[in-house]
Amino acid sequence: MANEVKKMRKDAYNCEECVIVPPADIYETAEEYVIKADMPGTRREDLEITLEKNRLDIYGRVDEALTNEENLKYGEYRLNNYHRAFVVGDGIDREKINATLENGVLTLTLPKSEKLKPRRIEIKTEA
Amino acid sequence: MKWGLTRRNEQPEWGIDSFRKEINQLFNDFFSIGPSSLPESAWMPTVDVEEDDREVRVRAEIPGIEEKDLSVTLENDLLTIAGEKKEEKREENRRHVISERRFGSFHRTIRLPEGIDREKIEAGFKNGVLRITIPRVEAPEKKRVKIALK
Repeated sequence: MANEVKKMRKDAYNCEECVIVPPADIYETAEEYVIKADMPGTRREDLEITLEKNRLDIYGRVDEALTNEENLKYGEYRLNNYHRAFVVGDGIDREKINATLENGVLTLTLPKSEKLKPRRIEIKTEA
Repeated sequence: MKWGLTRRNEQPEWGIDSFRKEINQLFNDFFSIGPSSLPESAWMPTVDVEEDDREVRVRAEIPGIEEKDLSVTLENDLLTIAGEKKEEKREENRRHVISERRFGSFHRTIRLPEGIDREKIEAGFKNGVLRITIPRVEAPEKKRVKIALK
């Protein structure tokens, strides 16, 4: 039975070294972009976030193995590492990116650079 | 492997869904997961069930929920995990680019096997993962009993 599970898992994901693409929400406010990604089982020290050129990579290591796959009676989720990449635009203040991890949810805040922020244009009235 | 952006209303055929159905079928007689008489909740946490001679271990991924919004109950042989994953307040001025994460209330029911110690069930929640350990009672070995014919 357990071997069937193992095989089905493997077939379903069709790979040996899988990563999970965490589901994410992205929204934009006037001040910033916010990315939230569900990464249950990842600890803060297992997270790696890199920004290189315009590519933002999120890695999360899940340091936990099934004690014994033979004992698995019902398996839906995958004890694999997380990885997802996003392309970010130029208008981001790269120095001020902030990341928090809470209850398995990663929140990344990417502040917009000054030139992208909406600003009020003063209308000068001639006296 | 899915990369990049996916919008919620597109709902691609996730391999895991069909896989889950198959598995469900396969183990229906052993663990029945999800009460069939009730409509399924908006989303369901993914669950693993492991079992050995000493205990049954249930693990559920429930990211983004606070412990106080989570409940684990045992009724007869049905272990139910329920809760509500609250969506952060949506501000007026937010523009959503992608929305893939699921919110709302959920429940999931797992039928436990016989011979468990109901008093010693333990549950812990950490990093968005709920773990429940259900020890077995010291099993009186299922010895083969010979019944004498009179």
